[in-house]
Amino acid sequence: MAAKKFDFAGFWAQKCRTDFKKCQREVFRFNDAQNALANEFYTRLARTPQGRRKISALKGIRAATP
Amino acid sequence: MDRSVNDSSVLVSFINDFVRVLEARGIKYALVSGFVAIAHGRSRGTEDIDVIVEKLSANEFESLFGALASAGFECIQGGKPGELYADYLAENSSLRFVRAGEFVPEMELKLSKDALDEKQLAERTKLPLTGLPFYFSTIETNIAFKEELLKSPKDIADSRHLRTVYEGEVDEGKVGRIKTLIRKYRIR
Repeated sequence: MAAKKFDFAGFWAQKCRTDFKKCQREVFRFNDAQNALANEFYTRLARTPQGRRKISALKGIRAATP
Repeated sequence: MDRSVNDSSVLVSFINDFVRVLEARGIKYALVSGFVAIAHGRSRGTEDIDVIVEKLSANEFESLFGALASAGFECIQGGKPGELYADYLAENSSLRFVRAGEFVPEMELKLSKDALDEKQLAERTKLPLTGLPFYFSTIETNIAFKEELLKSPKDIADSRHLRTVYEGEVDEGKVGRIKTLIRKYRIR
């Protein structure tokens, strides 16, 4: 038997129609948390010369990513 | 709009609360895929955190489901663990959990389905560079999956990111062996 299909996009679209402000608030909060996690990582990495060199290389990847 | 939350605690406490339920029941897990890159500073958004969990019977899952509900999590695909197990987990599909009443993030849970997943769980590791206390699948495994199976521009960039972070430390022989397993179990 094939796995049951669940319409995730439709589910969340309906939720957001019901309470858009709440949806937006939670998405922003979660995105902020991801950015904060990245900043904490770079702060740790920047403590060593090798880490700072890696940060420069990582910025190159980010710039080249579509 | 209140955007005063400027630390990672929302995300970290979500994962922590979820995996604590698993650990309390002695269930082995590993965080995999996109979140591994994000935990290493990759600047891209995701809505879900992928977790592989050791094989569970229907009864074991029902018990886990109850514990997750008690910890404040709900499954967005439904509330009947027996049906969820049969319709999704037994078919090697995933279940998505959120904190009750919230939208994001989601924990996307899959049960181990083959020797490759078993290997990921057996070799799971904590990654001190992330500053997080959770178990992840190894860097080599994540690189192999992204380069051999997933292959989207986002995944290739994730792989380059991890290779840069762990420059000089990636075991290429291990990456190659995992790619061989991926071709055996996932690409047919």
